[in-house]
Amino acid sequence: MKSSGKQMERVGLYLSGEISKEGMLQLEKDMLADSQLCKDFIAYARIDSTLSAIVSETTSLSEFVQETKTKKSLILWMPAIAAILAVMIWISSFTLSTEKPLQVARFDHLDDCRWINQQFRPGLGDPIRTGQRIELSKGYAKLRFNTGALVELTGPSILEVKGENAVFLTLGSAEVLADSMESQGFTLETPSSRFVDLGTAFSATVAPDGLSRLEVSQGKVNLVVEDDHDTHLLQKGEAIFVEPGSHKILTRIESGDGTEQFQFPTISSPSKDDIADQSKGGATITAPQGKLRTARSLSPNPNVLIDGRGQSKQDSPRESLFFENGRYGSLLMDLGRAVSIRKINSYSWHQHNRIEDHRVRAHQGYVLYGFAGETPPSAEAVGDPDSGWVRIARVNSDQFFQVHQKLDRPAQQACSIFASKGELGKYRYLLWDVKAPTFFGEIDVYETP
Amino acid sequence: MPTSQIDSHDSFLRLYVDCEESLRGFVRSLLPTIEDAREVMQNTAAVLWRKFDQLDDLKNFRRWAFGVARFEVLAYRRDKARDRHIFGEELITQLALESEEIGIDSGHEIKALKSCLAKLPPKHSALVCEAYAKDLKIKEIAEREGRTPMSIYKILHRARMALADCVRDTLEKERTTA
Repeated sequence: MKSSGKQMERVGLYLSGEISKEGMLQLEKDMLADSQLCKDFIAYARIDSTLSAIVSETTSLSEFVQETKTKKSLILWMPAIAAILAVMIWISSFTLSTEKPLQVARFDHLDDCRWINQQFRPGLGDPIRTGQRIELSKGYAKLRFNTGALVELTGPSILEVKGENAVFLTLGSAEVLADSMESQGFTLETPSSRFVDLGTAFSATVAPDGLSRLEVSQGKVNLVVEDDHDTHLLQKGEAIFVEPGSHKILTRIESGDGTEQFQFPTISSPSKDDIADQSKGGATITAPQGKLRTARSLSPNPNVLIDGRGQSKQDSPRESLFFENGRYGSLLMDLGRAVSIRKINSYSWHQHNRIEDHRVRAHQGYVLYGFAGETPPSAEAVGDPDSGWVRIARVNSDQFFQVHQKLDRPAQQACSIFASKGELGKYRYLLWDVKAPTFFGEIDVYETP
Repeated sequence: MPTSQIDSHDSFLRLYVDCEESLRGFVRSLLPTIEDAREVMQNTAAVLWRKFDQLDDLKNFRRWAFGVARFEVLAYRRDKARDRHIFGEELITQLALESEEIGIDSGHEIKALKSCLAKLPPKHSALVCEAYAKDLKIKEIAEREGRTPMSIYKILHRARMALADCVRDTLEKERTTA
């Protein structure tokens, strides 16, 4: 670094979030006057931002760091721990300095692959090492881990191998089969969560903006959103979305039993116990955008969404709230006061009485927003980040159920949106920006106890 | 996925991966914590992807990406980091221009950083690993180590300085021998 020690110290304090206001002003003044300091500042920031990625590859050391935390009070053990630390550091340094990380997997199958880095052209059987980033822009690649785990990648996907039983999926989709003894506990991390295999098969996808989807096809998978949050056990046939961002929002969508009881594997049935129920008298629903439709000779009744029950039969327009075909709109719920919300469930049911594959209005597609203030911003402004609306979650049940043919779509569906820890947020107004012709039967909003 | 969408995804990935590290460094330089920078990078990637089809000329991707990142930093600051210190417009623009011009191959930079990390004194590399592996705050490490936050900060600062110098030298050496 060519800049003075004092200046660089200010840079360090700034990037540690420890700088004083005066120090900050001085740093800004110095940088505006000195382009070399600007360059050094950027180089320092780049080192800082790249270090966390690099360090997480040195699994052995980071595991040890965690271990020392629990043993800190055992002062008598300190000399032994110090010795272990020295050995671990030596091992870690050796791994780094030899620049030959552990070979943990091999390419087992490659089909019509195109790689982002065109100089990277692996062949069948080629080794894959810890820390290696596999950037597949098109095609299909199967990775066989030494533990027996299989990871199938479909382009475009970016996956990093983190260890002998762990990968990080930055983008795209991966299917994991980890049913051998050694591969149990195989972990797939995404930008928003960590999926830990419990002897099973599952698939994960990550959208470019970090929205992750997990689906379990065999056995069980533990979803760990953050280390100190509750884990969520997902079983065969279950799937979940995890929104990116520091406040982790989960979306679970399930198909129901097709009866008026609206029973789902884990999502509760429509209820009168939620705070939005009309029996509580506090909530109202309107449609600020779009034209609501209903059965002939009736006018639309938004209160069907807060009457504590879903539709009584499979094709019941008068018990549903829905928009004109192809011209969707939005639903605005005013809870009457700002409420700490734990969970929001929405329910739909549509199956034409005669035409088996006509169940298009079961599809739930919306973006849910919230606002805590007294007067809600315009519903038209939801796409504007300055509007005041906070995006809570995105729901597209057709995408979730991977609907390719009409019959793939379950006729009765429930969607549950909740936070991985604590509340979803504190809101008075909820706005559903509806992007599907859904027959909504009920919406339940649960308060944090 | 339709072919046109695959092609678009493909082009996006190529361009994004190419400037990702520079972008990350730039975003990091404007925000006080790694956690903040991570969130803004995610928002930036989302916006870039959403608006990718509006980009007229792919040659302008890098410049456009830096513009979006800059805007996202400002939006983040407005929404979440009001109370924190952040630079003014003029310096942010200057930093964006400087970062945008850095043409370092991120793969080489990561490789160099790895080998430089191994050259640090063991105590320093252990501390760096501890700090970055779990995104620990200096105060937390200090408590764990039974030392003052200032002494921890100084070690980390010295380590980062040494790493920045070592990476620069390594890359320069590579360039001259290439």
